[in-house]
Amino acid sequence: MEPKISPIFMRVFSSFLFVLSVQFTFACGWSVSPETSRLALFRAQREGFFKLTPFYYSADYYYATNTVSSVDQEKNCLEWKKKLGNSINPDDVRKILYETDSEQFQTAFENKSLKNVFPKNTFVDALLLSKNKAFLNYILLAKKLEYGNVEYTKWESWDQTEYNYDNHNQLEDTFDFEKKIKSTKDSFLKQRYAFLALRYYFYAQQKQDVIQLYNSYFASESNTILKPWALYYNALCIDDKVLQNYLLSKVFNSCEEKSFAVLQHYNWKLTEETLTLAQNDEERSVILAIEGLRNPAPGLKSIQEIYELSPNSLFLSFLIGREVNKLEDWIFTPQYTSDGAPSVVFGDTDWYNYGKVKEENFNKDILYLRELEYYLISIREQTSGEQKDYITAAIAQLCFIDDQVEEGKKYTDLISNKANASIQMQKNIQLALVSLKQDNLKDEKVQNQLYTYFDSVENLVETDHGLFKNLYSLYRIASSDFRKKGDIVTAGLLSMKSDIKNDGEYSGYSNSSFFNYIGYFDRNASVKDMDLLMALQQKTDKTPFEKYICSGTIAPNVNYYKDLKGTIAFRNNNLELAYETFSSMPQDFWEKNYEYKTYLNEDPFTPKILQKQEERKFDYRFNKTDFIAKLIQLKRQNTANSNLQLAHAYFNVSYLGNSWMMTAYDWTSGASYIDYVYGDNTENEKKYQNGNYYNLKMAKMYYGKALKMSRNSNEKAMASLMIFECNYYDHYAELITEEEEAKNPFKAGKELVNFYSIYKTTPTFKRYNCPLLKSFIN
Amino acid sequence: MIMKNIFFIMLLFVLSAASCENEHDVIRSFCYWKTDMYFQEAEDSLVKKMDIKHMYVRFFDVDYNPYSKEPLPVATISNISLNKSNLEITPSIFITNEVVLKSDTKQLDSLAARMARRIGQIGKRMNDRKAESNAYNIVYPKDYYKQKDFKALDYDSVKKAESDKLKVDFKEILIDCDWTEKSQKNYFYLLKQIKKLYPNSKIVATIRLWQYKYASKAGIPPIDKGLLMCYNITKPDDFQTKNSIGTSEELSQYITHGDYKLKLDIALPLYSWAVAFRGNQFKGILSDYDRLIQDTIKVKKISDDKYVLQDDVLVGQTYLRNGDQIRVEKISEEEIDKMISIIKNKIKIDNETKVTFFSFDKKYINDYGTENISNFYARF
Repeated sequence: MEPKISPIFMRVFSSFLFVLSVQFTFACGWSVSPETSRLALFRAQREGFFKLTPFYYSADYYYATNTVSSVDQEKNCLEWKKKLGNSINPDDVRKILYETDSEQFQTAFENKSLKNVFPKNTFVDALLLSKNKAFLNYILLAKKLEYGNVEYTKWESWDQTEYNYDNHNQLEDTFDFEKKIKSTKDSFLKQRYAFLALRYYFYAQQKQDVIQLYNSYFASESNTILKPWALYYNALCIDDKVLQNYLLSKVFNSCEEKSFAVLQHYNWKLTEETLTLAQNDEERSVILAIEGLRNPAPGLKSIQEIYELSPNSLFLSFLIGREVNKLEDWIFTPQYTSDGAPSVVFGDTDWYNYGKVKEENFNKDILYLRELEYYLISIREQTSGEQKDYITAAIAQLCFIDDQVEEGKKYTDLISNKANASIQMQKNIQLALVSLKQDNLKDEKVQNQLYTYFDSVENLVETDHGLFKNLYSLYRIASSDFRKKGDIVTAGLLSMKSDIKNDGEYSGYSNSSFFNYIGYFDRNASVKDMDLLMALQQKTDKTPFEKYICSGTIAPNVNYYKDLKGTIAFRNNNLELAYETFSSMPQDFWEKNYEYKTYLNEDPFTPKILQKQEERKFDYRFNKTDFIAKLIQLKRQNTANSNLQLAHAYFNVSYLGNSWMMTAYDWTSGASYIDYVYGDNTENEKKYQNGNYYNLKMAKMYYGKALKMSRNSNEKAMASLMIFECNYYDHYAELITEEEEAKNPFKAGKELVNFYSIYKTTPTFKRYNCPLLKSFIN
Repeated sequence: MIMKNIFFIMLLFVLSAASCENEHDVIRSFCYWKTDMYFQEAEDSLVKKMDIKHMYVRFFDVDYNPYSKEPLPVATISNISLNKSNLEITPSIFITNEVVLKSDTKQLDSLAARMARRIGQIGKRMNDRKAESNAYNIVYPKDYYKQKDFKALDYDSVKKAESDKLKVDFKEILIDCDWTEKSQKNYFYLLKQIKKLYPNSKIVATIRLWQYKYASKAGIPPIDKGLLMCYNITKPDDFQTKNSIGTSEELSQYITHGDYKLKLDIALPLYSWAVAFRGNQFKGILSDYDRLIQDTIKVKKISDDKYVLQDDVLVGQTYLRNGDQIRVEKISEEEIDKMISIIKNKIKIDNETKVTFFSFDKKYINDYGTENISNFYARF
């Protein structure tokens, strides 16, 4: 991680170029996508949710999926097994139908080597029996007509310039589908040939043929999985958009493979009209559910309507889960991520307090949450089985979002022990939340119990990558709770865990570097916390919980922590502790680690502001121990000269100086990557060394002392000039608008007047005076 | 937050005498960036009114497919039918920087060849449509049904004759890629390979403003001409940006010199959109924002181009919330005038220079008005 050295707005003010203008370097703020930072803890699933995976609530506007259910394909394999005999293994059918390249199959057939190419394949064996020749012929044709992109994908092929599936070349001109279908006696094969033809005509845009084939071979009741597939193509060939919607809703309800494709083609504005075609409550509930699957706004009304129509509907559960996820996004995300508290300027002069709006929205969301919660409570008793457990888990989750821990616990306890594994996992997340809110987090037993809850979710991640988001969210909340209890060490390590779980989006963590290990502690830790952290690092008999929170997060080198401890001591003006800490480290640490060599390489006793660019050599061998030792020595001396040197040093360890990295790890004002990850640090920085970092308080104090004690007019001239500089930067550290400047203009002070009168013969004056500087004297 | 606040200092434009030079009769052009180009009378009439002679037409994009690990075409234009407009077309291909970064030399060689072949295929399709339309007009002349004893010619043979007359022969090919220092070497290599395949056409590449200003860093692409894109200066997701499409003030900070080593055509912005922010977090771009900002109950106007939502609103499938800020980004006519002055002041313009607007869309064109747009061209 590189330290960011360009702040959003930078006021450049050099003694040599007294240009009172505003220069700002614009650096775009660092941020991740809303979907990446979104928090979600609710991921309970009912059996059958898999086909709905693309429709989980997301902060993205578009829906993407890389999961396609294989349930339909399995059904098709079973249909083949049923047809050709029980000795056939459905996996063998799958291998040929869905995992074998068309060319490979055809070549093997032509070379009469099917048996060798697919050894021990029961499906191939069956096809090769002479009585099954018709089936083999069908498979050969089906493989020949295979196509690549059934689902919509943005990728095209270099060989085609049009979207249309152009398979005319694959069939001989004389091939007659109709004849083939009619001449086939076996109804199983007849229907399959009809399906091949239907799909072929669909891509050839022969709509009437598609509709006709569907009506002849699929419209009447039939149990084959081909029926919903054929219905899908048939629906897309119908010009009446309302009827098309209605048929697509039937496809959506009756098969898995086409669920994403159906929603790609669904006409969203026609829900009302589509409902008029529905034949029964079940169909009406499906149409309403489809509309809800893309609704990013409150959707309780649809949930209520669907419940009335079909109380045990799978879609109803899914939509309830979506609703819980929306509320988690609206309420948790601002609460636990650094995007949470923006105070925003609108326009050039208008100030707009977004914090107030945020509060209004929060209150509205909480009211909505309760409305949803009470509704779910009201229907809970009427539901049963998996649906009941699912709704119970949702109610509990809503209670936790609303901070009603007791109530949440009550519902968590009502989840039956027979609930499916996913709902059990949800229960564990909720028990972890109860523990985080109610238990003594210092208790080893409590910590180890938390670890078992965490671990139960971790164990399921392998099979459901969506759970990474839950872990990211859970650890973020856990970190916050440990922090509230004053345990900064655990809070910091959990915060790192949370970021690591965030789907790899914070890629900075994957290449562990110095600052990754200390970033959280740089913002939040005290000297005492650093001692506790080092003790944990060194501990040999860690508890399971400690082992868990340390894995992947604890620094490999104790000196990383020592460096931070010394720096915190320095920020607190505890020079002795800083010295003691730095001196216990390898003295070449600052040459070998982090960015010290790049940013800590100038003489800290020459104020940066008085140097011309060409005078800066960047070859100073900076050693933190030696530097602190020198400060201690200068303080003890307490002479005019020693105070002047101390003042220069404190000027240089401010953000304006050449040794700012003595005090801070990055030079930012709220827009960098690390500010994004660890939060804006400005308020902390303002407090470093009693306000020296931005307002030069310590530097000014020592310049004042030097001015008072010195008998040397050249030293006095230097101190006077630098007091002016300190005043200037102090004044403009926060200033801002023209109106405020008019109300409280910068005043140069008597030091500058003296510089231009009493000290005008000194070498310092001769070197540094200039007309613009003089213009500050009114 | 410290030092985040500024007072704005208005920069005045000092236009040198160069801006008073004689105006040129530049080649009037537009960019067409949609996936379907089916002109009808309305489009023909716009072309005629503004006297447009040329269009950059986006034929397809090329993106890097992470699964197959190769550059693949994306969003190919499905139909090019110009109706009665007679325009010179420059096929334009957008290539993502990722393609250039991730492809090896072998892939770049094959990419150049594949692109050329695809451009040829799409060109052929375009000519076929034109031949069909010509043939139809010949076989069925105006009011043919009123003619007694009308006898139609054989459509297929007329079409073939018309088709034979049309050759795929583009004078220029435009390659659009926001290359970086890192991808420069690969990109320039790709351009050279493309050039080899088009000995008789000019290869033009888009030049973004940073590539123009920092030419020594970005390098000068090995091509015949550049198309300088005088817009999209900052990212729309930046809350502090005044207008990410561009301002003349920003343009003047980029066009600081006139010694770019390539002959340049000029592209100017002619579009608008609205950008939504929640707090200072970017929420997305709304291209259809007119109805939203006209809702005075739910939306409060806080400045010329900024609006704040007063209620939660569902726009399509986008959920905007109370307090969200909408920044409408559109460049005013005065700003475009200033931009033209800045460009003319530094960059050599002649009668061969193409001046193109991004992009050809009835909504944007009617927004500015055909007369104003004609005046923009005339200002060169």
